[in-house]
Amino acid sequence: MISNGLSCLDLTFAHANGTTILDNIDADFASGQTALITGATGAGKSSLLHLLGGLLRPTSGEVWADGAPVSRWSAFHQDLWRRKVGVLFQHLHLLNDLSILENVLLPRVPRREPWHRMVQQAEALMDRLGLGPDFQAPAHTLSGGQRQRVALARALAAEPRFLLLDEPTSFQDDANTLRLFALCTEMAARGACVVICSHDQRLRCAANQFSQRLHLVQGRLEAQPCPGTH
Amino acid sequence: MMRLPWQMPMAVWAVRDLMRHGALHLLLFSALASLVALMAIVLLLHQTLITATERLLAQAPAMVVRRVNAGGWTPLPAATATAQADAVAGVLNPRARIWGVVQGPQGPITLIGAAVNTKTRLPDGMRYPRPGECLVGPGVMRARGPDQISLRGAAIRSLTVAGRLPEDSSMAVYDVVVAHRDDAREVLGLAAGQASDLALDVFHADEADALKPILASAFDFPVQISLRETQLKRHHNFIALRGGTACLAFIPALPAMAALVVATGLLGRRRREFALLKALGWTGGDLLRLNLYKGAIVGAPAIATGMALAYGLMFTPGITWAARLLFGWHQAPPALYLSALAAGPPLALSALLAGLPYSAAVFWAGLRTLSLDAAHVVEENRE
Repeated sequence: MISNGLSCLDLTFAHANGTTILDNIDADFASGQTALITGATGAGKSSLLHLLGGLLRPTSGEVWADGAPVSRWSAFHQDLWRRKVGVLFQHLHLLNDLSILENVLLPRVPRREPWHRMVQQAEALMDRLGLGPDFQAPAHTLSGGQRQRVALARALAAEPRFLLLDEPTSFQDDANTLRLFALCTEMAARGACVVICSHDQRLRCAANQFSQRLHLVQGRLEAQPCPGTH
Repeated sequence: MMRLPWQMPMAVWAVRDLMRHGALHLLLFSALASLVALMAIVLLLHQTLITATERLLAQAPAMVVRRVNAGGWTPLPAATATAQADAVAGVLNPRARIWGVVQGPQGPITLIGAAVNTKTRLPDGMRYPRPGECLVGPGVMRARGPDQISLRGAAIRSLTVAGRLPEDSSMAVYDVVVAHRDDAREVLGLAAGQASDLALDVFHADEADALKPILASAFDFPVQISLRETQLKRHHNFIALRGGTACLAFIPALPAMAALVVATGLLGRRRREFALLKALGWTGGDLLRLNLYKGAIVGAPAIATGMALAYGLMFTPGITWAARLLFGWHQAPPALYLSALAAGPPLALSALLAGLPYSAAVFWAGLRTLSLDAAHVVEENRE
């Protein structure tokens, strides 16, 4: 277990019907690094990400964040801790009647910051993701790729300490995939712990971009060597 | 969304969130405002009439003596009766009054006979009517009506309207015609030297009841004596009865309030969306705060609008429906007057009656979000 980042200790997760999704997983995701978790569809990548983000509670085992057993915490404390987490959901979960800007601002609204500063920073972020200039367009008018980038901007908006991305490039072309890489690398350089789940072939091929690469198969996590880390 | 130089993003967000379901929240606003207005009208009317009655009776004589016989009321000899009352210790300022109900141009009116020496008080700046003249109250005829008025009682007299009693005294003089004493006697069928009754004050108000038998025995004819306090109680009872009837208006208000509470609860219940907000870093406290902001943004102006609406409907001249509905007045009712201080409690009570259940509903909807689990957002899409 590491004191600076996310750790899974004997982490098991099963559905209510008894189907085991994750089986005694031990893994560390250090701060300042980018980890890639690959695996077939249905392997449990999203469940692992949701467990790491405190959205699900493990059936057994623990999730630790910066040396604290966050999965054991009460909902109240977990809610507070989750402010440090930015999640990009596989199914995006945008609020379609809200504008792009409003969707991106969502995580920052309760943080008592000056409104104009929040808006400025969100617009700058969206510019970097190629979402400008019409930030007032409703989310439902966007293409799949744009919607995914809005969801990514939303995950990044609050400058999270733990960035968890589920299939972040599934709707992106190569240029936007590179943009995403750049942002993730930048976040990691600033000390964030970045975990990406994906079965995108492009990410597998770009394995040298990641500090850590893991493969999820039959509920177990297997480390895979990254090029240049021998 | 507009860029606002605002330090309270949550309040801005609450407004934006309300706009997302604008029609529903507008409906909620209207329902709450209407409910407050309905309750405030009933309470204001009740309070206004009590205040007005007390003010009027405070100006009324402490005792009124009427001569009666087997047939009921009968005129009394003015000079003799005044002298006999004056002889009773504790009685002050006895004065014979000439008045009665006769037929006016639009229905029954109260005719008062006045002259310089009758001690009848007139509003400031008005002179006593000369023979053949009269002063009319606001309900007797329209402001721009004819200059002549025909009164029909024991005799028919046509009088020239020499002045109109002021609108702001309409609670007292709404259906009153003040004529010269001799003209009034003629229309009322009183002989010279006769009066309708005798009004008098007493040295101590508390003594009025004790003076009653002494005063009754002072006259050489049978009399009926009524006290101001008795009148006051009678009016209070009447208003309480009518007010109680008016409170039946609260019966439809109760299910309306219940529906409002449920609607408020349902509007605040967006389980999936709130679970998403939690997943994005909102705490239960943040969601509660958002609900309270939204509740306040809809509720406070709605309650204020309801109170303003009730005040306007009640005290704007020309609005007749409330008095017609509650008191059966068929003509334009007297203008109602109530000081800000007296209007405060009924308005505050109506705000409280509607505002408390509404606030409870808002708070309840907010509290439900505290127990919401962020896992709901991922449950339906779990791998």
